[in-house]
Amino acid sequence: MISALTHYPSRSRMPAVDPERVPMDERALVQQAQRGDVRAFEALYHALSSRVFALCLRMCGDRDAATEALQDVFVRVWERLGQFRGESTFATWVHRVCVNQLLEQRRSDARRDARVVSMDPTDLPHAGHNAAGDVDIRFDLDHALPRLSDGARRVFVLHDMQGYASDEIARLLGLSESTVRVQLHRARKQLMELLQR
Amino acid sequence: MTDHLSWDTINIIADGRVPSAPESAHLADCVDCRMQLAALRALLGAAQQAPVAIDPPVDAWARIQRAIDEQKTVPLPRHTSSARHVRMSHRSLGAAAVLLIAVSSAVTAVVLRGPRADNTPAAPRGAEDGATAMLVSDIGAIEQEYLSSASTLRAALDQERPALAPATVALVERNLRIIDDAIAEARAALIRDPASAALRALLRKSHEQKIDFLRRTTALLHEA
Repeated sequence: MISALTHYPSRSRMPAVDPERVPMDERALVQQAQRGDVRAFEALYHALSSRVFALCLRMCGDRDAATEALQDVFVRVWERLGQFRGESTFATWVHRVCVNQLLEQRRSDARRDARVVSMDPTDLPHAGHNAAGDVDIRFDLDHALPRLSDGARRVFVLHDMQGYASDEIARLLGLSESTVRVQLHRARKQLMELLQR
Repeated sequence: MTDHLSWDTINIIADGRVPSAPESAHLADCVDCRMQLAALRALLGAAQQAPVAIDPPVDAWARIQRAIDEQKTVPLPRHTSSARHVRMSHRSLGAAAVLLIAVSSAVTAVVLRGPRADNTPAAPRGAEDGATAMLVSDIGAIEQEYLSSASTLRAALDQERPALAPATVALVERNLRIIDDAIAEARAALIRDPASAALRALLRKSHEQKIDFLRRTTALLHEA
C-alpha cells in the first residue's frame, strides 16, 4: 500500500516534488496523520523506520543511542507533521527532521563526547563476501564507523553516505568549512586504516 | 614532482576534481599515491552503496506510540516559514477544559437547585417587569467588564487559528462552547432570579474562566 514511501533518496538526490506525482497513499496517510490519526502515522513509521534507523545507527554509533534517537525523531516528526507542506517527498522531509534532530541532540548532550562507542556486529546487515572472496568492504565499513570519533563519524556519514555538501555540513554543525574538510579527510584516513587491518 | 601527493590532494581528486598535469604525472609514476587514491575511491564507493535500511528493534514503535500518548501532543501546522516550534498538548488544553466543565456544572447545579438555593429573597412578583428591565442593564454592566478582554483575546486566538491543526481547533472550540454555555446558563438563571448573589457571582466567574482559557491558550501558542 505504501511502497512508494520507501523510495528514500539520499541528500544529493532530493528533488523538489511535483505534487501531482506524489502517491495518493502517501498524501492520504500524511493528511490523516496531520489530523491526529496515530494509525496512519504508524503506517508512515513502518514505511520509513528502517531507513531512519540506519541513519541513526551510523550517526550515533551504538544501538541503544540509535533506538533512542529513532524514538525522538518520530516523536518530533509527529509534532511537526503540520509543517509538512508536500514540497518534497515525505521521506525527504523526515530525513531532514532526522538529521536536524541528531545534530541538535549532539549539541545538547555533552555525555556523548565522552562516550566510548561500540556497535554490536549483529546490529548490522549484509555481512558477506564479495565475488573475489574478500570480506565485503560495505560490511566492514559499518563495523568500522563506530570506532571513529563522534565528530569524524558524523561528518563522514553526512558527506560520504548521505550526500551533504561540505558547506551544508559546516552550517548544520556550526563549524567552518575547512574544519569540516579536515574532519572528513581524517575520518576517511582512519576508516582506511581500520579496514586495512 | 618528487614528493608524494598530500592526503588532502588525494581526497580532493577522489571527490571529483580533475588532477593537474603535475599531479597526473605523479600519479602515473607513483604506485603508492595511485593505490591510496584507488583505496579511497573504493571506500567512497562502499559508503555510497551501503545498505540504506536497517530494521529497528521490534518494540520501537510501541515506545514511540507510548511517548506520543503520554505527551498527547497534537501535530500543529504553521502557515508561516517561521521556525518557531509550536507545540500544544492535550494535557494543557484538557486542564483548561476541566476548569470549564467544573464551572459549567456548578452553574447547572445552581440552576437546577432553583432560585432560592442561595437563600436570597426573590423579587416581588409584581415588580418582575421593571426588575427584568433593570436587570438587563445590570447584567450588561457585569458582562461589559469582560467582553472587551474576551474579544481582544479571541481576536489573538483567531489569528493563530489558520495555523492550528483541525483537531486542535476543534478542541479549543469545544472548550469555548462549554464555557459559553455556562455563561448563557448563568445569564438565564440570573434573569429568572435577579436577586441571586450566587448566580451573579457565577456569571462573573464564568466570564473570568473564559478569559482565563483564552489567555492560557493564546499564551501556550506564543510560548511554543
